[in-house]
Amino acid sequence: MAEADGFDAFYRDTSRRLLRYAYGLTGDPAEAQDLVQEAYARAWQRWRRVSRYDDTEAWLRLVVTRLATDRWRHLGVRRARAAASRPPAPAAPPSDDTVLLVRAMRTLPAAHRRALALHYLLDRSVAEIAAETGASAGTVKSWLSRGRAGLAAALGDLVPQPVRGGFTDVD
Amino acid sequence: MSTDLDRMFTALGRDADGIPLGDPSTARNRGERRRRTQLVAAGLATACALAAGLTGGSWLTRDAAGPEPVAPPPDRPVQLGPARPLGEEIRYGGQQIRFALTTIAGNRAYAGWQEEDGTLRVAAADLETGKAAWPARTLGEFDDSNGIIAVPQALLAIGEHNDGTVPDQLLYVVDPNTGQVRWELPFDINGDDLLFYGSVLVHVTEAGAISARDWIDGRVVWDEAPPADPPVASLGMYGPADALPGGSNGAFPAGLSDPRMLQITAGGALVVRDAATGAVRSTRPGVGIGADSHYLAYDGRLYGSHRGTGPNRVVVAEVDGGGAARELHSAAPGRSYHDVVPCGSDRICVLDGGATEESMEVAAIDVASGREVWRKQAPAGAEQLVPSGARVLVTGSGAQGEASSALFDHDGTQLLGEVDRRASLAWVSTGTLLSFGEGGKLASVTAADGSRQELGEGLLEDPLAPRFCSWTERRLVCPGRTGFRVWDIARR
Repeated sequence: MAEADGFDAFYRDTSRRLLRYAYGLTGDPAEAQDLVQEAYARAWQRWRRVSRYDDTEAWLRLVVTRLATDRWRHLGVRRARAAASRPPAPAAPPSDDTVLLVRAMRTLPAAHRRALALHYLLDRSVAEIAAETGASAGTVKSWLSRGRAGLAAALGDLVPQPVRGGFTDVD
Repeated sequence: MSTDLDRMFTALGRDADGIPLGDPSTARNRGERRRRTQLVAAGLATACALAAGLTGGSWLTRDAAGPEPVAPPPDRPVQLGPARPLGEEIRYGGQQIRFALTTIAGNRAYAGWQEEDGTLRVAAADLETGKAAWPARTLGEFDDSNGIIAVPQALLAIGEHNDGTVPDQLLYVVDPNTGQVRWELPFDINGDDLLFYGSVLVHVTEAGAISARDWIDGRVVWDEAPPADPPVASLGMYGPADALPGGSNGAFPAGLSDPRMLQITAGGALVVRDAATGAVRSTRPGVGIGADSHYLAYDGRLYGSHRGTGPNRVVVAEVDGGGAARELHSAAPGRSYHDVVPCGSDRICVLDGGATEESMEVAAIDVASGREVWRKQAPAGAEQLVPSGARVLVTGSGAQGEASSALFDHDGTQLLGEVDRRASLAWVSTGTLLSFGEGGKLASVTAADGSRQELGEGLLEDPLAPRFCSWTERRLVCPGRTGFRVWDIARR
């Protein structure tokens, strides 16, 4: 069972970070739990190969990104499926800040959400996000800038301060 | 604003850290169940993967005009008739089942199922008459099963302990004529490879030890100790003469007719052996493209597709030639490969996509020049390419689990009508497909023009049944809730 041991150790090392990322993308604790479980299930399916990837954690994030993009649009269906298999453990109620931020994040395009989640929740630099997404650094800066502007607009009165433009504050 | 966002994301991160997470074993168990159906779908040697990868780097220039179209090989359409049940349903035995699967080889239809108490059983039917060929056989009790595979020499069934047993899986080699278990092989489904040749079953461990076993008694015909440069992939060679898979939606049959066994080592070498004797025919460096890659050997060529981190690319090497592999194609920035298959003479087709299901596309690539001949939008949720001749079938499932399909001609023309684009399709011959539609509707589809002929409706109890059915040009076998049954689909 050495292989399972390796998988389990990897899961323990990385699953919290992946859950942060999944929660950032979906804003739904149950969805985030299910996405993370699904991503690791897919990793285990082909663990022999996946474990040799240069950056296995990034591969998992890509799986979560794809699933989350899909789930964002079809939340009800996916949740119904997940509920049929195993009910997730309940999470504590989110803070007021989280509730507002999730609501605002839901107004953003998927690419902006992904960039913001990587940057703010996983402390990824523009260069790292560019490497992970395959986009140029300029594109990533644009995603972050437009994402922040979108959040500011969605947050409305709560965050009335003007958005700092430009790209220099994201590196 | 940045400060506010920092604070809010910090709060979100803190809330995320408080969300309960399942045990890793939960994810592993979920993966095992996914893998079971995947193995049945694709066969052990060709199990395909979600091809997630991180992309970047160069992108070959697209040539809108492209090379001259390749003349398609002649079709061999078959005439199908209304589905008619043959014999009685062959019952599982009255127990509640977790799942049931079918497969076909030669004149036998097989079913394998696992009962609620974990008992794994198999049974066979005569494909001509639909009558039981031998009584249901109990193989053992397992936590799970990785399904069944049929080749002319044997029925193979895989049980999975999940209780710490090493290795975790047990492969049963069952006599197709009597149902008796001939021999058993413990193996590790994650680390080991199994290849099914005419005279031997080849087992390659993760460390690279090889044992080729006789189909009848399991004796070792030849073996090799683990080499210093272990294999990262072991595979057989397919070709245009190989039969269609005859079940689910895999691209190739489980059995290998070409005698060559190929291995790509961690050091990037290609080692070619004679599978019957183990003799090394050739060894050549510079062919592998890294550990996180998939390989396909077809019609004398080895295709490698890198689908992991870094730029996704496809390379090709002539198996009997010399030199390093040649780069054939690279995925556009932000896109990664999901499947790579041959699709006609000197062509491959790739399924690639970005972050969304809608971004999936199919492209045909000329192997000589590396240029894209055509590129088309794939159905949302496209997962797999199944070629036949110069056409390629795209299968997948939409956002709500509904089937989605497309059939592209050699020039990229989409051939399916609206009804069949929402059905599960599979090749019956090089000119004809079976269409499993909503409401258990069964139809035949002519590949040349997408025309459709209804064969019956309400035939299948389970909407997912097409994934677990198997077929020939004359027969269809599907599992139901209480048993499995053979249908005559030949034109009468």
